[in-house]
Amino acid sequence: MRTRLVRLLAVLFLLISVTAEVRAQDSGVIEGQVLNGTLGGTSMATVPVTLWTLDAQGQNVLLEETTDGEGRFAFQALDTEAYSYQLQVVYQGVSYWSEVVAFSQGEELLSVPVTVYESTTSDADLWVERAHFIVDFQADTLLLQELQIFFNAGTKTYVGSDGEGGHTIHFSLPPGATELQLTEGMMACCIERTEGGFAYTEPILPGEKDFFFTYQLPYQAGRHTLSKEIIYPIHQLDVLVADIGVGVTSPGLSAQEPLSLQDGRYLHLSAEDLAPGDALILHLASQSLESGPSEPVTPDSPGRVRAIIGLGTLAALWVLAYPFFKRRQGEES
Amino acid sequence: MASLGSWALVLSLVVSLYGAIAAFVGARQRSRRFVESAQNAVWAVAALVTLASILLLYFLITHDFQVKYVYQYTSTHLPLVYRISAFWAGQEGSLLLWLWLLAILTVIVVQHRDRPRQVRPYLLATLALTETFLAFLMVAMDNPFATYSARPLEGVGMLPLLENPGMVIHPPVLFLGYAAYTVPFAFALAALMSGELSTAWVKAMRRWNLFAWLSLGVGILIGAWWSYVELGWGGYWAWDPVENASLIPWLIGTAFVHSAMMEERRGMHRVWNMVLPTLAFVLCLFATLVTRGGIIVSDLHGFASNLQPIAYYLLAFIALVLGGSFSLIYYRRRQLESERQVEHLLSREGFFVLVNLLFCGAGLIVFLGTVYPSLAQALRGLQVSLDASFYNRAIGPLMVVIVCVMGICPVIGWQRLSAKNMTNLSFPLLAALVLTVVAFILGITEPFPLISTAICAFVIFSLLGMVTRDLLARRRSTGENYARALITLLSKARRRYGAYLVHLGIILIAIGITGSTFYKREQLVALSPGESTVLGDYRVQYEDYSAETLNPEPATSQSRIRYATTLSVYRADSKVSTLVPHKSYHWTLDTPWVTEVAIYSSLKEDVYVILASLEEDGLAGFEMIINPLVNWIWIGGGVLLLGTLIAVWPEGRAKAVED
Amino acid sequence: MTELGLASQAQAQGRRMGGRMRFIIGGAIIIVVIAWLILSNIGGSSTYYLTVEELLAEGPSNRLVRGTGFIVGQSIEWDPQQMVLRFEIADESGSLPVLYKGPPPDLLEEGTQAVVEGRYASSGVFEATAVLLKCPSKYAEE
Repeated sequence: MRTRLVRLLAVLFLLISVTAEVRAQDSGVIEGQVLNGTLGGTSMATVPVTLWTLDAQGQNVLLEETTDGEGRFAFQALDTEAYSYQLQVVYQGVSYWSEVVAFSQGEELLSVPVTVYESTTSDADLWVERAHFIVDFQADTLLLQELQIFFNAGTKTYVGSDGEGGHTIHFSLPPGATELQLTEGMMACCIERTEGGFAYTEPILPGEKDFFFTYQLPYQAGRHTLSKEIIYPIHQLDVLVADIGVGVTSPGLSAQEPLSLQDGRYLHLSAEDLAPGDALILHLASQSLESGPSEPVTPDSPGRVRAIIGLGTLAALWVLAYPFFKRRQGEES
Repeated sequence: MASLGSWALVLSLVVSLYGAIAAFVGARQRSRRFVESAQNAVWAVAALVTLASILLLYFLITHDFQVKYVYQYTSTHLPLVYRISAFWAGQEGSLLLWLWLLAILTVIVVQHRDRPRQVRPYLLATLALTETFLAFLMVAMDNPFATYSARPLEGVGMLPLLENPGMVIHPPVLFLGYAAYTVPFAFALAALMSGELSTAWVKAMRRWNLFAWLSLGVGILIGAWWSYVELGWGGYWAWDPVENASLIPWLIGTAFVHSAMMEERRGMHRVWNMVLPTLAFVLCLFATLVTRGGIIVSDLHGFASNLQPIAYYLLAFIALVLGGSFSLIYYRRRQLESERQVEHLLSREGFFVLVNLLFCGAGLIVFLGTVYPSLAQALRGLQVSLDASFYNRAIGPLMVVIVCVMGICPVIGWQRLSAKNMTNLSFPLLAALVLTVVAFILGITEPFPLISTAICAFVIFSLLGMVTRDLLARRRSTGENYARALITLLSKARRRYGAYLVHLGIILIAIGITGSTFYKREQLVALSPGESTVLGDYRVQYEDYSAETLNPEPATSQSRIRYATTLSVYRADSKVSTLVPHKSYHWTLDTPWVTEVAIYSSLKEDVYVILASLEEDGLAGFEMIINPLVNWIWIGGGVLLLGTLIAVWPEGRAKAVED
Repeated sequence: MTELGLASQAQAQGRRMGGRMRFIIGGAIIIVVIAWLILSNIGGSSTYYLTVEELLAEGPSNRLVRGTGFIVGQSIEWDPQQMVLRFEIADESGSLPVLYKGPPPDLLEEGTQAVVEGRYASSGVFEATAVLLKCPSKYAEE
């Protein structure tokens, strides 16, 4: 009886804490025009347009229409309070999205243009505006991070060359690269491994697109050479290598002032206007152990350390075994 | 040399695991040799971990940047004291600190001669198993002795924010609390496993319990003080998940301190006293999970999951501990039945049950509030964050009740509330009401401060009443003067008077919190040199400003431009203080700006000034805050420390005068 | 055991049962009160977290929210006389002007991820009561 009462009270309080629903208003209208960006903004007639709704639960298709002779469309009787909206037009196999819009208080009409582009299989207008290549050391592994800012300077969407099986942008990886991880601008869905690296499979719209990924390479102290193919023209390349006493040289890159960043100092090399077909080559040479500025170095004589370890282990074992071997006095309890 | 440190940790792992197993076997087989071997094992672990700790200290002090940990947290220009405090700046080092403290405590606990023979091996086993876990975390993932293949010439250095005395003391004291809470848990588990469930175990672990509770409490207070003087946002507690995580075990620990007393005196709360130390221990692990494991999603990280590998291991160990303990409790439930029942709500027994529920309830509220954003995202996909107002509104009422109980409980008797108790309570009640009315007349009109005044006055008068009655009784029986009587009472009735002092300390803290929360005054003002502004009872005059370049060559993390402003604080036309709030620009760092606040403290209030901006012509923007009564928080902390020390002070051969 | 003994034992037991009932009721009340304290305050103290895109889409409203975006460096304006800070936060979809009356946070610069708490006012400006900043990543463009 008591537990039932407590349960009832608990349910009541749960209900009280739920926020009230707002009554839906179904009088919104979203209208707009589909324009062709490649042809300078001309309208696109008889093109299918899909209206999507967005809320905390996700995206859903709501309505579909076809544009009229002037490329115009209109969606009626929309709920002005429960959702945000987004428009989609699929043209030549590429999905184009409008910005996300929502009705403000009292607003009933929204005007949303959607821009589509022609597609092209030529990557002549595609280049890397800026690339960052960052090298960190961890025991016997190199941690590499790459940021590549691509720019499609043309007026058409690049959908990859014929016969590429839908691959658009190619990325090269040095031989032996492992633990490839992708973030920011790429989803695991849209990547395929290729020989020599991996490729992105989504179309590249005119404008800027950023890519960021990380991977690892095995590393041996001493002399180590890192080599990576350059596939697209790079306008500005910056290479940062963690400054832990390893020297870095590279043909074609010039050394700059070391940079001090959040997690340490980095040696900095840079280059401009690199052409496809070139290779990015980094020579890493670790310096031999040197004494710091008048600080006594801990002598790292391995023989002595091994002796201490060996003797110490024996001592510990003896301490543990001692009670079993000492002369027993009287009965065991 | 660093490999020596790694070896010490690996061997600690193996030896502590052996020790746990040997102790367990020794207990089951009743073999003294196994138990002795296990005891030697924990000595060996203590020696090994001490060696590892000394090694790490050595590497930190001598700038051995080949050791990754030294590289990441120190630089050649770091002063000695911060090279030492770099020990606990990162995850690897703080795990080593935790293990070291635990190893030393273990040796002390196990050496005590008075342990019943059946109990000692299980104590050993539990403590050794916890040592194994900590060593395992370091060996498997976070080795403080990892090295680079080459030796960097310079380290990254410490964040300027961490270079201050608060960060030198706060983490070690906090970790001492975490390590120390393993001990009551080990006692509880040893009692469960050995079947020795008489109240003797509670008596035996009483001092350890208080020690752990005190360490954790003082650690939390130091953290709040550091936040106040160093982080410089004008407050001392932001209900941050990391702050909350250390508070929750302390709240449970407070419940346990009282609950243990119930078992000792009345043989009650025996199941509570198995559950509470287990929870306290687990919550200390949970605190590490929150601070380092990344289980709490936050808006500052875009609600991205930040789960670290250590989180999985911590969760697994927590699950193991909870599962094991609760199974044992269930298995022994018949032997854990209370000797007495609570017969009347209005008795000391009844009130102690209330204390348990209130403190555990407060712990639950803070816990739920801390995990709410993560839960909301995991279960409902919502991205929300919880305001500080939740905690204030939910815990406030509980705290009011707790304070009232603090005033009533020591006065009333066991079994039931007697008429004499009522008389003894009525005087403090009346005095408190009179004081509240006076406060109202003097201008305190908000409800919460009024309630706070009433209950704090009630408790203080109640305490005074008890002490007075004791003094009078003593004088009647021995004819001593009051001063002597007080000293005799303090030395003979240490537990009781220690407790009075602790409760007084809590009241002082409550007064400080109430004053600084409700009567805080903030002011944003822009001044040119020579101008002044009025802030409460003070006039603050902006005298001068300066920009100074410090440590320009060579460029290190200490190189900075220090923008300072000098302010004079006047009260009633006489100058009381010169304040110099400043901002430094560390040009070599990625997060270059560091602000240092200036505080003028008095018992009544703090004048707290933050330099917000400084233009070239001297126009400076200030945020000025008056924090009334805030220093009573720190004073209360000191009283709390003193009271606990008195309560745990070992008694001489003379029997204590207790009720 | 005499009858009288049994009877008085039963009576004592009855009294104890009565006491226990009251004790259980008292405990249950406390538990319910604690639950009420939690549940009634969670709703009021939660603030939802929206990106700039979502804020712009939703438009000005009266509710207390947290918004997040990257700080646009050129937009930072500090009025030292009025002690008012203006800046813009942005993401891929656009930017949102923010107004904050208070000292500029130490980490404020181009590219820092910021969380602002306040209201998106009908004037089109986000009136922030708090500004929280995350340490900038390595990629701040120099």
